[in-house]
Amino acid sequence: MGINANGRPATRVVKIRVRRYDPETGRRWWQEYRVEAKKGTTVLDALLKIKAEQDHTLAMRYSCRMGACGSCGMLINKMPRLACETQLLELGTDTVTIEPLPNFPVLRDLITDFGDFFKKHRDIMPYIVRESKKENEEPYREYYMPPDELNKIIRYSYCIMCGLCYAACPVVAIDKKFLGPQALGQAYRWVTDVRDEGLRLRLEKVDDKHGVWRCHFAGSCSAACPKGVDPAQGIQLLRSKLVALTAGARRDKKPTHVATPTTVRYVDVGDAPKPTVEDKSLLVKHLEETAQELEQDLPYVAQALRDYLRTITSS
Amino acid sequence: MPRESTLHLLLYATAGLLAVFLTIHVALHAPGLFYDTYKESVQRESVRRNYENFGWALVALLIVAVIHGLVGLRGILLELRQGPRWEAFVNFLVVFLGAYMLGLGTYTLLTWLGIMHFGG
Amino acid sequence: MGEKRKPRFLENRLGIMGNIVPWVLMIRDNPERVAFVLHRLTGLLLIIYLPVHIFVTSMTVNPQKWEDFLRLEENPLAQFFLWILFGSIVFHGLNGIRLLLVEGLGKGIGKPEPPEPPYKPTSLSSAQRKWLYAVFAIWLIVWIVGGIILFREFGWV
Repeated sequence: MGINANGRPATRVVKIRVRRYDPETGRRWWQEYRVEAKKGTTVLDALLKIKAEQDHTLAMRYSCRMGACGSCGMLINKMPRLACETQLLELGTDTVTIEPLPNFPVLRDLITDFGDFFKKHRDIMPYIVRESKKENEEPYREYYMPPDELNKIIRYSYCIMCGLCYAACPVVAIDKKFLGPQALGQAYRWVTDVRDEGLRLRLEKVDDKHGVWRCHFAGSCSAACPKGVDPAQGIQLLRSKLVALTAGARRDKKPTHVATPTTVRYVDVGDAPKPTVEDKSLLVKHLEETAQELEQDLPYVAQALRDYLRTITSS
Repeated sequence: MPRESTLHLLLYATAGLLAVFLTIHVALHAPGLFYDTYKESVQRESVRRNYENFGWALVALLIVAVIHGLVGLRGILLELRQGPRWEAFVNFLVVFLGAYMLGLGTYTLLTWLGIMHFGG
Repeated sequence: MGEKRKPRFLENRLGIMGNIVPWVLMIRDNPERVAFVLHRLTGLLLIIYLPVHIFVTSMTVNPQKWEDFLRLEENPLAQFFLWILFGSIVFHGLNGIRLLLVEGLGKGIGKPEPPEPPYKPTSLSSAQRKWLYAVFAIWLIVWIVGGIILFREFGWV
């Protein structure tokens, strides 16, 4: 590694073993390639180089090449990783084995089908659910949410749906109906969101035979996650919340500092329903502070907040 | 079948109880604590004393262990295969095993207490 | 080239092998997974043992049957099984207490704070990891010491 005497980066030839699959014949085989790698060469770079120079039949999925899109999840040296964020030389082995992500149906070579995975994500309703029908069906503005509340869920919002956790999970490996770490982690993200009121609806899927109770905290999902989302933590927090609810703990008190879009008169769309905010003084205090904070960088938002403040203090 | 959350609340509650009960249960047979040897702790005389002194505690242990074990077993079996017929079978198996264990365990205790009489 | 057939997609689920064969999937820095597999195996052993145990205890009411059973316990295999059983109870119990805290109460897995590079998962570096090492350590010590006491009585050592 490092620099050669001639001033060029040192290179090393790495043997790459790819587990290939042909859906037309049903044949599955290992194929070997040799690729010259230098510091910084990622597995995805190597695969693209193979595709361009050695074997154009090799199929893989990728998009952004920078760990943001979550398309290139693969089993690299038996560990689920993003091909674009794994450097060949950092793996430290002379032979690098690349397989499609397990627990997903293989379409061809390294390409897997995410249909089930996305369906399970949809099942837990990954969006804000309000009790008011109007707010659900005619949203026209964003909700306001205090930063400290955002900090509680932002970790889970970083999920890029790459499927590495789903491939690593030992329960997904046997139970095909299990929602999996991604969906359950997201379920926690949405039920913790102070703007959300859909806990009861989500419980239908989460509190099921193949829902949250099938997790046994093997922790492999978190160990595999490339974005630090930590689904294992989310699932345990979701479960302890459910245990407390079942044991008869009082339901979490309604957040008093969330402003819904229908309370913000920005565009004229008719009368707004009554604010869902109960404790006005907390909201007023919070909005004032937020407006002050935003004054410098986002003056128009600060102005909108002040307009809103005026409407709720005058009524 | 009750809701999954109820079952798992039971699983956790019984787990906590088992941690206490089972420690005592195992300690009763540990050499050097209550009996000098393991063999002495399983002699019929020792067993009789256990049933007479802790009879109803043993039934409590039985109930707790059966609930915890069967809810756990049900979870493992539900992960093994999916489908409505398999789920129905698993539920039946769990209820059957539970009835068998609770019935037999209670029968043993009642016989020891002289409330029921063993045929042999 | 041969005639093209209808594409068949490969069901690539790892199954039970993915759980118990260590080289099928090698997740790094993940002793929780080892604990999960052990917890499951010991749990299975215990639930299989429980009905047998209840059946065996029912023999105590009949002196003759109980004498016959006690003679069975002279068998070295039965004695060895007793030790395995003891280890299973100790591990399942100790790890169970940890799982009760983690799963039931949400303790020991850190707070959901915004992640920072290099994106280390909080739940795997929090208190529960220390509890896990404690579980392994206490389990092995108790199991081995218990084994020495038990096998000394049986005349093995």
